[in-house]
Amino acid sequence: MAELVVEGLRKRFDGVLAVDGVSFTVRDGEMVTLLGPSGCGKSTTLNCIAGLEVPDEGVIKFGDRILTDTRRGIFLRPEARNVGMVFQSYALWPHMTVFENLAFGLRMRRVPQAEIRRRIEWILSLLQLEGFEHRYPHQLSGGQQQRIALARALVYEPSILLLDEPLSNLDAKLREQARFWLRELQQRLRITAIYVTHDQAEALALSDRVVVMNRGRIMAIGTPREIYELPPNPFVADFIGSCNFLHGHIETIGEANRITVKLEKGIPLQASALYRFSPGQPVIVAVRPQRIRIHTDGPKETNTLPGKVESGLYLGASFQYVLETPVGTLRVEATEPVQGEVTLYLPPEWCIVLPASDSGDEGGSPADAAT
Amino acid sequence: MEDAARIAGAGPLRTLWRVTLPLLRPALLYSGLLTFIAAAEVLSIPLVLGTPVGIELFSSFLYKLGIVGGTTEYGMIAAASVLVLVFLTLLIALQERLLGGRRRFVTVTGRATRARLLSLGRIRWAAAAWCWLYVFLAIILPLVGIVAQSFTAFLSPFMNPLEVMTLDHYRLIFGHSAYARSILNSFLIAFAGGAVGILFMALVTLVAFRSDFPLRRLLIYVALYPRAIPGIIVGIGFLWTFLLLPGLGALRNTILGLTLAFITRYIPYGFGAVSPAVFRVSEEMDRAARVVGASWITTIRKVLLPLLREALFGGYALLFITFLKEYASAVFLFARGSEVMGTTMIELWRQGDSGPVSALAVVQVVLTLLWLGIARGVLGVKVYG
Ligand SMILES: Nc1ncnc2c1ncn2[C@@H]1O[C@H](COP(=O)(O)OP(=O)(O)OP(=O)(O)O)[C@@H](O)[C@H]1O
Ligand SMILES: [Mg+2]
Repeated sequence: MAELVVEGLRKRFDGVLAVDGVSFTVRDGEMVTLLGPSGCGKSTTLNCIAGLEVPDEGVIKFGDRILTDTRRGIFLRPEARNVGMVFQSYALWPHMTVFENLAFGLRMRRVPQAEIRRRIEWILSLLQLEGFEHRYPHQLSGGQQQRIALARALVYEPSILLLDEPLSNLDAKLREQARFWLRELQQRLRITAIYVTHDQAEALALSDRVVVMNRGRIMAIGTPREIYELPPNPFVADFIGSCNFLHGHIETIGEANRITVKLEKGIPLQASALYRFSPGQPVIVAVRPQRIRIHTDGPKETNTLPGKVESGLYLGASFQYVLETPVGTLRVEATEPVQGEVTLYLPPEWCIVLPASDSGDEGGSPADAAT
Repeated sequence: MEDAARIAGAGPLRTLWRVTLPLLRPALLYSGLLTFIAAAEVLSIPLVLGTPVGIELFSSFLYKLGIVGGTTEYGMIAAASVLVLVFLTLLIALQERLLGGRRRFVTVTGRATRARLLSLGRIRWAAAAWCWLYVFLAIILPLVGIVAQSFTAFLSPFMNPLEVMTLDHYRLIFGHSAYARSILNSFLIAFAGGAVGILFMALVTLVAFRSDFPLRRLLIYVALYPRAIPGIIVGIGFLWTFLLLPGLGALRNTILGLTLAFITRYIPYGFGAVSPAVFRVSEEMDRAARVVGASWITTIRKVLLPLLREALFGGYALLFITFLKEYASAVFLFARGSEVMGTTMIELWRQGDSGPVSALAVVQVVLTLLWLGIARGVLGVKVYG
């Protein structure tokens, strides 16, 4: 079928650059997540794709259909784009029953009455909402309203589905369930979808690829594993999951991306690199708390650091510790409880070397890292 | 939202004061603005009550200057209107600032919740008493006076009204063909003109606040300007329009022409009644409709207008009553056959007959109550969650 291409999208609101040169592609049948902190321009990007916002600059194409091209002055109205959209507030029309809400888009497409009935039956059974046709939105629970909003966006078989934080109004348990069936539904229907969220767990669980945004710019594009395991910059490493950051300089460059980094106080550390570096260059080494291993009295190998447990949290499935080491405070996740003096092992393959200058953002220090 | 305030520990009064009232700010500001200008412009009350005891207001001053002073100085009245217009512009600009960030007032979001009455606790008796006192003093008392006058030969504190009871006034206004016709005309204008008018005004409001029409901000001002222009000037304006524009001459002296003038004059009322309700509806409502394939006009028709039903009905009621009473802009536009109740009242008043005037007023009140009662029943205005 067709892929969606966004090129050089720019949008300014009263002097604030909400979206600043965003380009990405969504392949046919793919689910792509726009992930980023609040106010980074995710919704604005999505609204530009839907035609609800007119960008100042940029091209948006779906297959060979041009939806927006500011250079050539092309702008397709939202009703002509055949997209489905789920809003954060659901935006169900309160004066219409569930049936009327769902039939609206079909009527706009002049679908015959019998076919409207058939399609609504189909979508309601797909979303396990049979028997709700004649209820009004205020007679439904939050989770049911959310599914009706999704049904309304899917019932006329749009060529692309846009979701703006559709799960953010659900409680934690329901949200987790909804993630699963949403992903399952998208794969079953093989519909091209763009999903906006600021919840990194949601982004990782749901999408084929993730676009990480910050302050109107794209910070990374990749599969959830790529983004999580090989984050290209400290912002991404910190925003997705949590991360420890160690400052140092490149000492020697070995084979197979293996690099030795000299940390503060001259402590050497073996690490892996995604980029080319030159000796002496200042770098940041990113290590996830889950990847650091704790030895209570293990042998002294390479890549070990002495540590002292400062505090601990019981998380149910694991323990999270804050340890004092010669290179600063580290957060470590362990399956067994520990205390006192320990030895930390940092596996070289999970120590990612990132350029120190290209931080992209303030989110660098482990102290304010999000969890 | 009120629930959130209650849970956060606010008592019912505090909830009203800190949550409900601020959310009503658009509505309060609009009605405040209209009342303010109306107070500056209203003529009949200062004329009847003020002038005899030497209280001169802007409007009665104008009236004396322009109409009583021998030659009618329309230029002077128009100049005064310009003054009011400037003042109004400043007020609207101030209001725009006070309402900055309209999204703050959104309460209809599409995540449905159920409405709940606020229990006022012990002070509810005091609140109810206060409301009733106002209703009694401002509405019931004058109404009783009018009804009494309409059924008596003359009303005097020194005579038992039951002894001078009569139906003469009603016989006069229903028996005389021109008077009876004026009642019918007024009803038609109020009934049909009010409905067309409120739809037109709703459309103006929606273009101003919910479209990408480039001059929409200007519309906010233009829509409120007619309020600054005295009715007589509106009437004269329409008279000249009908006379000068080819093809419109036929409208002169017809109730259609009167309807047009009335609608124009009261656009600010419709605008004031509808726009606070528009602010309450989240823009995601229209966006959702656009995305599923509705054009702008279909979105207005199928989503916004139905969501504004309550406000539209309120606006219709307002227009119905105002159109039934309107006389100022009709004075220059009516002729034999297109009399309205307002002009008939003036004529009767000039003849010094307060009895038939009261009878007409009673007819107005009865028509209003009857028609609005029926309309509410038939239209079945429902409150959605
Ligand atoms: N209509 C508007 N007028 C002015 N500024 C706007 C408007 N819409 C968005 N912005 C600004 O543009 C920036 C990006 O907003 P956007 O809604 O795209 O953020 P977001 O990433 O969706 O955030 P969130 O996760 O909080 O929804 C913000 O700084 C916001 O204040
Ligand atoms: Mg958003």
